[in-house]
Amino acid sequence: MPADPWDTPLDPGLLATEATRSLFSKFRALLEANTAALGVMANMERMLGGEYIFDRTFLENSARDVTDLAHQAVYALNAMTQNRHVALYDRFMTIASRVEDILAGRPGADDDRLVRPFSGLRLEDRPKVGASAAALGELAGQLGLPVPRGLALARAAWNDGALTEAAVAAVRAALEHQIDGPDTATVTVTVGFDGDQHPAGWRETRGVPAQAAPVLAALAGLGKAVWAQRPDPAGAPRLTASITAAPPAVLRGCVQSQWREEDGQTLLRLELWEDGDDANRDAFFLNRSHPFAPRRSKLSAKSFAHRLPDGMTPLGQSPNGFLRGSALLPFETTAALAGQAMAAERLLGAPVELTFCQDAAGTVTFESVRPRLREAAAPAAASAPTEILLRGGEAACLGVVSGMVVPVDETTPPAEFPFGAIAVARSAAPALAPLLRRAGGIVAEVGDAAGHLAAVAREYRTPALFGLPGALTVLAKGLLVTVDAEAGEVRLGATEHHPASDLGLSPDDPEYLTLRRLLRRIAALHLTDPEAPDFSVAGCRTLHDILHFAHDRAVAVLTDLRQTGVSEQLAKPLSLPVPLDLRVLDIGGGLVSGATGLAAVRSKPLHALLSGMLVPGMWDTQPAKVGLGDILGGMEATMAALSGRSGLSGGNLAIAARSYCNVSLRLGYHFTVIDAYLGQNPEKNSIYFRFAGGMANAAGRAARAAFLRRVLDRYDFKVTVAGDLVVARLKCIEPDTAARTLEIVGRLCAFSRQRDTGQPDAAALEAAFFARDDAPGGATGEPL
Amino acid sequence: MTTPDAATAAPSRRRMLILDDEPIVVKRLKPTFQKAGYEVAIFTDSASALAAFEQTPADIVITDLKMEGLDGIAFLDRIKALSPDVGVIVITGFATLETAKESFHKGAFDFVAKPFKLADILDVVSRLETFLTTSRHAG
Repeated sequence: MPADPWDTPLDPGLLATEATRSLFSKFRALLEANTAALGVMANMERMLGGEYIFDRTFLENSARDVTDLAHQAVYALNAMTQNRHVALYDRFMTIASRVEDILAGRPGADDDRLVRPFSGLRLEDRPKVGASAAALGELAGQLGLPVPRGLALARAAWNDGALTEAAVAAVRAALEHQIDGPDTATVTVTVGFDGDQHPAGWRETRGVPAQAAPVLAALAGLGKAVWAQRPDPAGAPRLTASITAAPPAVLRGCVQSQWREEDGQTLLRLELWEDGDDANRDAFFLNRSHPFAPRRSKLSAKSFAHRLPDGMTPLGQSPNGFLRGSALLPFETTAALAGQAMAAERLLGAPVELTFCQDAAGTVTFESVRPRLREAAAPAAASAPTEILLRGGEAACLGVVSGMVVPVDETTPPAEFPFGAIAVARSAAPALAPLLRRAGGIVAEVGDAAGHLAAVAREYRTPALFGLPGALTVLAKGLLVTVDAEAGEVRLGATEHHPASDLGLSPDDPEYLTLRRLLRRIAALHLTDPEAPDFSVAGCRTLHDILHFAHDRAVAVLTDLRQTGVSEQLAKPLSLPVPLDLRVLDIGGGLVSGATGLAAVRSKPLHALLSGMLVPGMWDTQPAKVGLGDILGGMEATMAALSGRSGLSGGNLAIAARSYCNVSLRLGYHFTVIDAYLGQNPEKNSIYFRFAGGMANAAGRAARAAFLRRVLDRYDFKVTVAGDLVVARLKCIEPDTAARTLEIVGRLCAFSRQRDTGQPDAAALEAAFFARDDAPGGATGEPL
Repeated sequence: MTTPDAATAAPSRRRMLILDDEPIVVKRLKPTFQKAGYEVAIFTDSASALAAFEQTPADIVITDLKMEGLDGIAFLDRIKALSPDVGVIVITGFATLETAKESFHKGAFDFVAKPFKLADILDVVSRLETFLTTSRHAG
């Protein structure tokens, strides 16, 4: 067992007063709580991938552990600040009680509005608004599928088939204020029983004027009619309803992701008809895996002169030189619809029936989704014996999927990736995340189940297998393969699979929904930029927000110590062979007594960071080539940055412990903050990097920000860029990888000085950065 | 991921009994072991599981520890008395050194703390199969 870094005795000469000692002690307690909570949250998130068997006890223990740790952080912050953040206690209590609501199985006070916009709904809202509306919100929010704007009425809005008075008022308010609701001329009103157990009970009225009176009349009429049809008068469930903006349509259709043929085959069925002519329908029966080849079709009779939805006639010439034909949609479009339906089935964990419409410009909108939650999932067909192409790796998200291989990298435009195909990449880089909304599955040569892309795969329930060397060579473009993440295999050829039943953990499982609700209330992070106005107590919506806020404010307290001069005596100057006026505030095991230079740094993360900064060639000591335009262009940003908290006067400060460092740097005219934890437990390790400012004009600063993004993306950081502000995070990293990544960050800090002046180009800067032979990742800049 | 060996580890449809008072655990383990070739019976209460075992003993039992009524240790005791050769794997969300020791003392083959990876439990069952085969040959 390695020695506890916090047991390292403090330098007696360092701590001038008992008060300061107490302050550091509280900060260490807060830091420990923060890192421990990050570990527990990462562990909870991993459960979404289906690879782990967990139970309710695990959920309860994890949720309560994070709650306790957040409480400790709030306590420590207040102890450090003479109770300047008492309001954070109240905020914490509110969030903690919501976590308890979830654990107790109560609907909770998450959102008890009787009328809610689709855009905010997720699967876990099903008990409140019904399966269909929750699924529509999930498809839009998670997969980015186009759905109409609309409102869902909660089950609580109904009482014995009639709207409650409160619901009537809520509908009026929503339609009058048009809060994220329908604002088109007409809407479709739908009322039915929840789920698919009473399909005959769904009724809808189209073309209702988007005003309160007619909408309420439609709801009342439909509610009464549906209620009268309830199959079990004694125990009928409550109604659910929606009010949906009616997009203009020339074509309508319905996709059933599972259609059983008479011979036992399972295909995907797509039905199409022109708006207003639903008696004449085209039907297509396609394979359920990419490239979704058509197996058979039944087209309605049309005259040669019939004007089809794309404006052409059946005998017109297509762009490919062939005759257009009489099908209402070309094959490419039906394949894309099939891919989206299969993505929906995977996400919802059940066969789906999607209705959609298409306007004259060809834009598709999915109007409704009915997950067949209670339909028995078809047993997985016996796999045809197929050749194993690759075996091994780590499953980031379980599942079995077939499709054609499409090699991808960070430059692949997501819009060009075919729905349902298998993405094969060199590295599981976060920049690939948008592709996962379209990919049927993903394989990467480098990566593991703890990275950001793995978390995104679990979010979309996209089967993912990472850490398969040789994947790009073996899996050639266009090869038809089956990815079986559970078995850790990629096999040649397609297999008939039923993705809904392949992933062991189904969205229909109460534990899955509870886990999702808990993660939403515990692990989601809304406070990302400390300089943003909503970075406040009131802005904290989750326990992660509370922890992040408390940590940031605690670091600020230590930084303020220095600004008031207290820590000038406490922080030791560190002599380094570069012009970096760095002082180190040792809060426990950060420095070695009696040593000098880098050898004096005992803090593992600070040592790694400074090692990178000292790499020969990174530190450009030549004066920057600054033009008048740069000076004028940079003044506004520079003054703003100088006036902010990041704008420290004097030199640079590192707060260091054995496994932790928080470094504030002012190098030239830019300001950098690095907050890193580097210990033995990968789940607790994290690196936060924040970079802003600069002397040059906006274009130069933006180019430097783009350069930083390109480099940080390579090392699996989750990066956000706004103007010249770059914020990057990396969590759950193996200790060796964390150390090498911090070296890269150190190199970046040194290299990026003055790189915004002149006429910088992000790609050229990236090439120059990786051109150093002594780069830890090698001259080619391969990710670590 | 599952180890491919696990899929071939079940000779001639061996019987497995899984007992856990949380339905999600038995629901998820069942298809995994069916796929590996076992005939799987699942239970969420120990009384029913014991009654079923008395009727038709299983070759392998996976049981939770902390349950209402007859707890996992008592259940382990009873089935070992009925069928000393049964291979038992204990799974629990309340893993302590004491409970692990007690499980081994009562004859459990292995002790797995929840949450666990499907691959881990398949690996333990695979090792148990090897152990049972070796024991049979030795006996």
